[in-house]
Amino acid sequence: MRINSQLKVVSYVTAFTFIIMIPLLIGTFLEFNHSRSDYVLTESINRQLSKSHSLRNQYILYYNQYVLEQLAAQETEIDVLLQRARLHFTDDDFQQSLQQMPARIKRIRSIFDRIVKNQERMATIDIDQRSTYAELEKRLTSQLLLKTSEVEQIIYSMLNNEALRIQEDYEKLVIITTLFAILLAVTIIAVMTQLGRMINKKLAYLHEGAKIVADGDLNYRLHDVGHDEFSELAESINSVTTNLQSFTQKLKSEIHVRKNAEKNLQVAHDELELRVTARTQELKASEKHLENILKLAPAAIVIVNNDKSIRYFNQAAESIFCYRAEEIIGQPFDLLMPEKFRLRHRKLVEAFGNSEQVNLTMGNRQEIVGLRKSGEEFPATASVSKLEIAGDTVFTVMLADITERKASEAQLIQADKLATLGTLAAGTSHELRQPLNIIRLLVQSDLMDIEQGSTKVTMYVEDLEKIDAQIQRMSDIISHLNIYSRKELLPAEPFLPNIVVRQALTLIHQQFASENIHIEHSIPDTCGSVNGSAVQMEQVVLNLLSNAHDAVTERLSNVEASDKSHQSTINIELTEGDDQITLTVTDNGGGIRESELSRVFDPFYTNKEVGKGTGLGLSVSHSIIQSMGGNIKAYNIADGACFKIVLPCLKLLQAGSENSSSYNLQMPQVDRHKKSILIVEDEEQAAATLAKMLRKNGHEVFTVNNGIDALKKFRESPISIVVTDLQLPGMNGEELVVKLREISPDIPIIVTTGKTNIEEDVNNFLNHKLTYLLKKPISVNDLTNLILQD
Amino acid sequence: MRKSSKIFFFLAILIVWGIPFSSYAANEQKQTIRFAFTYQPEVALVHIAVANGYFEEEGLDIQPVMRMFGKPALQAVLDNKADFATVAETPIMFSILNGEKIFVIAEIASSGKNNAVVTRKDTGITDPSMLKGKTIGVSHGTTGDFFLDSLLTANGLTRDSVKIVEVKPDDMLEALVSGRIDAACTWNYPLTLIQQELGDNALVFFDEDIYTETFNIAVKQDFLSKNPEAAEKLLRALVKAEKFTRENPAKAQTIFSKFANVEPALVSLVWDSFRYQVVLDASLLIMLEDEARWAIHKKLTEQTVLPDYIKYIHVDSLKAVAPAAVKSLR
Repeated sequence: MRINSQLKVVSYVTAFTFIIMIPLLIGTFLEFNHSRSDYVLTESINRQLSKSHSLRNQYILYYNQYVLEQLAAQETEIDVLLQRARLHFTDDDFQQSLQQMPARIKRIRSIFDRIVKNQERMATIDIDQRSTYAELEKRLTSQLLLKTSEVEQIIYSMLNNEALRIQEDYEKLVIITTLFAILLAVTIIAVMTQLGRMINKKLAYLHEGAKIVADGDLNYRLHDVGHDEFSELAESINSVTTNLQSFTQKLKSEIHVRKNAEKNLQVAHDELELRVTARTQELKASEKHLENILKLAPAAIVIVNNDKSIRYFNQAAESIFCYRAEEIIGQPFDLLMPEKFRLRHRKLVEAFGNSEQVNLTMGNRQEIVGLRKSGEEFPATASVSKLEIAGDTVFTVMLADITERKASEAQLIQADKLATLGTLAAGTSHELRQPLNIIRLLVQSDLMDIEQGSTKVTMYVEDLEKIDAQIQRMSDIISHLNIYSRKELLPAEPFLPNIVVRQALTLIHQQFASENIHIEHSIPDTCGSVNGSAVQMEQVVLNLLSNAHDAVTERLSNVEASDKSHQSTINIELTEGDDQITLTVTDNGGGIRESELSRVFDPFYTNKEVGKGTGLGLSVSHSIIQSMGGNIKAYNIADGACFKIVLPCLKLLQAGSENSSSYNLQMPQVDRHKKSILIVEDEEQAAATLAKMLRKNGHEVFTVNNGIDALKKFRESPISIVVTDLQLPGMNGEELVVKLREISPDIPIIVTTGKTNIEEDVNNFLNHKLTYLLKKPISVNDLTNLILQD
Repeated sequence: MRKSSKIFFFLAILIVWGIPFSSYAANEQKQTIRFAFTYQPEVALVHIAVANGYFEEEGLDIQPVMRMFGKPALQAVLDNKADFATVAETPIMFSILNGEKIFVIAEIASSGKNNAVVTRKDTGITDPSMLKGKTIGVSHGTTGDFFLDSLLTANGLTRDSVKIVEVKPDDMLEALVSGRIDAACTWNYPLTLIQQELGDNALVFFDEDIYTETFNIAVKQDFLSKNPEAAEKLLRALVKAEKFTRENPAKAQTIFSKFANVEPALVSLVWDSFRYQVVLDASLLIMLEDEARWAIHKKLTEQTVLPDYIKYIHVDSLKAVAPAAVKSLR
């Protein structure tokens, strides 16, 4: 039989015993409880009867009427209790005893009533008759005692029987409980004993078998031990033994394979050891070699610990900083830079140390300032990389002394500046001729007045003030050229790029206008400042404008024949973003060949004719912009090239501040007049002075400052003679002359110009009998003569 | 001889010798007891015990000494004509007052309605108080004597206010019918028989409140001290009879009627007036003392000192047989 089944049998037997015994126990307990309840009730009746008896005795002794009232209540209570007992008692004997009770109690009450009446009678009768009633009272009292005793005996008997019943029920309860416990215990013990024996016997067999297997006999198998759990366990052990046997065989096989593998591994290990030894020697050699490289590297290599102390200092560093390695190692890295840069440097290194970036490539070089042991500062480039060595962060600083390079660069920049100045020479001379022309006109005008006997001193004072203003203008131009061409490099400081751009435009404006190159510009009145050199920035702008000029001029020479409407245009635009300033210079000069776009910033690269470019302009511009922390890019647009400079913006400087005072752009301003003589002159002062002189001679004078307005005025008003400058914004003088000839072929036209080689340039349109040429500074007499001639 | 045959042989010898020995032993155990009792209804338990063989079961060979009522039955014991007697408490009370050394070993019946005064209606007596000056027949020294005195007292009369004459119980009917007496104070069966005889002319004065008769087993002290087992056997047989009577009242009446040769109807009429119970309780002592006080007071005895009646009540025998039947005597 299975153990499980046996345990089930025990459970069923136990449950069955419970089912049988529990109602029995409950029944016995209820019976016991009922008996106890009966006893309590009987005891109550007895107590009440005793009380009644006591009250009667009290009356007989003391004749107290109050006792009778109490007795009446007591009797009622006894009747109630008896009624309850009749309903409650189930035992026949008790019921029989109870049946006797009412009659006996009634008899007692009857006797007592007679005693009461007898006593009442005794109180009223004669004394000689009293003895009879006294005797009667004794008899009645005896009977009362007797009957009460009988009732008491019945009650005592009932109480005894109740007590016996309780005792019996209790004993029954104990016996049944004991029987129940014994039965249960015997059943469990018997089954468990048998179960234990069987388990022991079978376990011993299984243990013996397992021991044999454990001793190594894997061929041993347990025989069938029945149809119970042990049989299943035996099967499991047999199965495990079989698996173990199979596993052992497999293990043996694997051990064999493993031993072979270990042998091979040992051979490989030995070989590897040899290779490692050889490799280690190589590495040591390589390490030595690397150490020599580091030691002899031309760049200074300084390795700095996380606490900013110097860990390694190579020979080049010794040479640059003039420290010996043994004296600087362990010292703070700050020693190698001027004090003013130390705080910034520390913050930068800390930020770098905390960043995710672990290495900075060598391309991200920045110019810094180093400090030699002697206290001498020097420019340098450096790169920093971060490395984790054994959980510690170290910084490797590679540094190069660029003192010589900077000197070379300065020379290059200066050369480029001079080249630019050369380019600008013609325009600059024009700029100077304009005030000179005005001064001359004013002087001649005043001389004429003096000759005519004029004594208007105030007028002369006014003219002298004008002359002084023109002299100041010339002085500013010359001063600016001096600043620009200065060789020494000023330290970097914030400047306003919009002012710089305007200044550059001032320099080239007249020249470009004279060549009919239209400049479109969009430059804000205010913008953020940039840190660097304003002069160098102007150099960059001039370089770009110069390149654009060359491009559009070349393009014009190529397209002139086929496309008369082509307008050479250069656009310069300055915009400000959140934290950067963008300067864009575009032209319609046809652009740069794509193959050459990547080389435009290389030194000495040029695609211009021999003698027209040094090939340094863009390279120098690139260096200047980089030194300001910005970048410059070149790319092609639809009809030309575009150069875009992006510079980091510092903050907005107020226009008119001391930094911007020397860069006020003066753009040409022209007023309009209606006169028989139409003066076309983009220089307002020149036009006004000329008009004043001609009006003194009685002429009606109209002044305009460009070709288009001139044409318009010419059509609207009866103009008898036109005086026009050759270099005009937009439509130049030559074009205007052609247009005017188309309108009025016989109109006399006097052309004025500051150019020196004008004869060759205007030869074609000057071939008209009514077209005259006057070179600036013009003579009032010559002009008057020409007007009068016509 | 085979082993089994030997065993049977020895068994046969034992049986042959054992039977006479066993008979002898049985005869040795039976004790002959002379038991003086009456045909009165109070003695029903004795008749039933005899009829049902309870005495024999207890090893007693009962030799009945039949008397007409309890007083002569006790006298038979006092005269050594009987060993035990069934008798009411009044003869016992007088015997003790007279110095007899007897024991009461149990009460076997009690009743409050067994005694009464019966008269003829044609005498003009309608209630007990009208007995004044009348001639009343009574058997002296019996329960009737005490009951009459109690009845008179209860009705404001004294013994001196009536004329009391001695009449034997069996003569009461004739004396009353003949007019020799105006009323008769007696007990059953004479009481019921007189009622039946007089028919509608009979007038009976009961008074349950003033008297309770007890019927007891009396024995001489000497005898009891020598034969305590006999008393216990006798009581054990009577206790059996009591149980039988309680459980089978109808059968008990039939058996009693048949054995005592009394009409079943007569037995049935008086049966409920009695409490058949083998007991020793306070009622016997109360009645003995009450009646003794009465006897001394009425100078019915020469004794003037009330005996200690509790010394004459022997509880050990009954306690040995039925402990619960022995109650508090006071």
